[in-house]
Amino acid sequence: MKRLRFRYEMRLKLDRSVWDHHFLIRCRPMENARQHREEMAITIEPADFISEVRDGFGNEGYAGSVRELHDSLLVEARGVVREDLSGISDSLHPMYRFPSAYTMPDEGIGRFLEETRAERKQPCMDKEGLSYMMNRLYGRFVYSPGATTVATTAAEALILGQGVCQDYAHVFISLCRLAGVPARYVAGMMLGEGASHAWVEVWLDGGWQGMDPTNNRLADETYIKLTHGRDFGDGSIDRGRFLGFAGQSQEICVKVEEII
Amino acid sequence: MRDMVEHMEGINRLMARYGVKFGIYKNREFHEQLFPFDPLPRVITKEEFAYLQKGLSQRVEALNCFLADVYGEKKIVRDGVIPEDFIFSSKGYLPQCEGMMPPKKIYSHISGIDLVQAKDGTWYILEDNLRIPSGASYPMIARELTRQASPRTFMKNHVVDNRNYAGMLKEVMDHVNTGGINVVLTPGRYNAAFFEHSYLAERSGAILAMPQDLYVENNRLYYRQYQGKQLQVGTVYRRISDEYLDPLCFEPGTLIGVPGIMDVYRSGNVALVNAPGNGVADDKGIYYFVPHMVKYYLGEEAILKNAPTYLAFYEQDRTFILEHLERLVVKDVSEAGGYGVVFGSDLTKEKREELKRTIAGDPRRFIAQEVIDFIDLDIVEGDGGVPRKADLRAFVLSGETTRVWPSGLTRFSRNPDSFVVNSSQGGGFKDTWVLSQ
Repeated sequence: MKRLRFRYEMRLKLDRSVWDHHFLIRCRPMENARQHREEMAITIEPADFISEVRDGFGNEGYAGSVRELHDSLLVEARGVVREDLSGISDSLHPMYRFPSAYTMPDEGIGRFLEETRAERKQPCMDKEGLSYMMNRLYGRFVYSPGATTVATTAAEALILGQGVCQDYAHVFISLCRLAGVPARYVAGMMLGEGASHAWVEVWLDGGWQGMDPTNNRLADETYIKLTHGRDFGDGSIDRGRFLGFAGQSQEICVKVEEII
Repeated sequence: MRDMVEHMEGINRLMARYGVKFGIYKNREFHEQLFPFDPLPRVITKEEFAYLQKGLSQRVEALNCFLADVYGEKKIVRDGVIPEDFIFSSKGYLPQCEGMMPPKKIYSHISGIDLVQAKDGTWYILEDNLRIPSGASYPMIARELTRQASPRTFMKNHVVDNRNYAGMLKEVMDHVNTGGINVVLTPGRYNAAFFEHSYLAERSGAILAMPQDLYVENNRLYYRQYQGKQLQVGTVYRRISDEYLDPLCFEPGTLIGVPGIMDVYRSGNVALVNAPGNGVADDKGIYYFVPHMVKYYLGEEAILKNAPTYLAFYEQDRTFILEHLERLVVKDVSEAGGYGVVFGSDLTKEKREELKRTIAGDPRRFIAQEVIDFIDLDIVEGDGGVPRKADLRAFVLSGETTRVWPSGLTRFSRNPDSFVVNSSQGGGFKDTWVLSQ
């Protein structure tokens, strides 16, 4: 069991004023048997109103809007969560068995799985097998910001051989599902300072197991889970739509520390 | 009847003026077409309609149970009646709708069920349309115009008045209304079905709203009035497809949606007609299982038959399909609107082999059906009548009760050799008369 204090900041800067801005911010750590939200506070500036919402995947967040002209949106969330991986896992939804928009396998994904199986002479459906596959992916994929975009699919990322945590997660999910292991996309935060993070949960022995292909390790109690879904399309932390023609830049700053 | 044939041209001219059109998007080009009207109606006897009414209501009730189950308990999967592949990997399945319970538990308020009648008189279901089935306005306006053109015809024949469709629609909207006004949400007047949207709004007493007229505040949906008064919306008959309905929930880039509307819906503060996510129950793959659903949920045998269908997913069916391809029609479950439909008999030997390999490689994607030799209806061409293949779209409305509109959209193929009567493949329509005695 670990207690973690977190801060999540998001700054959206617009180079011209926009209006009728609607947003959904899901920086509210999920509440379940493995993660308990002890404290939570959020400020969103500007906002006409904010309401707490929950979606079909079980993700929670804040929806709101700004009607008047504005050129920035600032979000600051703080809180304390208790992580306890001995808690009972939530159940398996069958949708996590099937390919999704970002994780549709192609020949390259299929070949990667075949090669992994051939090397290991096993079908790679248990924890050791999946760890082996994750390690193999880690060895062949280069962390490289800017190489991919938020629209890059697993198949495209594997061809490029580089990307960010979102791409590692998509490729790994695609491989797991193709191997017959249900997998889902997780967005959240991990210990330290930096950006938000994405990893994978796989369904093993009747429970979800977190695996972080970007760092080639299992997700432990230093990870705070914000959302999950079939892929980035379901699990993105923030979404928005505004009227007006403006260039935008987004900065996300996350800090997580352990309370001892 | 001669009156009506004489007035055919005039009626078509009037319909063109009203904008009775539909749009086709094919090969990356958008075409708007008039939907030609043929004055010779399809006639359904009172007894036959009673039979159809019973069978269609049963089918739609089972489909509504199925939708509640898929987005709720999923008993039908657990009990092994339908393999989960056909539900959770279907394009129409929207996990965003998990755990939502629409007002009054109705998912498919307006169902468009396509049928054909075989030469032996048996009716077969071709397809269910549970998302935004369109086309009710065509026979409504056609009836109105033909009554004007030839009042005598309607005095001599005992035809059930079909102009109550809007009243039935209003009853459905009122029944599920969560408090507030009824609106028909249209993407705008450049949408090819805009005529239908405005016509149905006007006739049912609902407000015709564009996306920018609606907004969400404090988990309620409002209609923007320029006098500054807030008008709460209780029912949205939306003519915008699921993926564009809410940029915060589905396609983030959409500009025709209403941001936040899905949260309001999830809270039970507005009714969406039809419910989002219905696509999981009307694709070509799930079609195979509808008679099983009737049995499973209602404990009854299905009154209306499916066309004999084989699912390539099942090995036994697949073997059958591959052996009898030349007499079957193969459908790609991921396509709609008459696309992805191939008649085995039309293919050359090489093409047929190629299709066999495709089916064997991705069996989940294909169903095959026996070709039903369905009846021809006469259409007017030149000075005489010529027989053409025709189907029937029946409109089933589910509110307090489930009822079938005593009319329907009869579509025919203009090509004498074609069995595909979908309006997006070019073709025309007829009025559908249900006799009252």
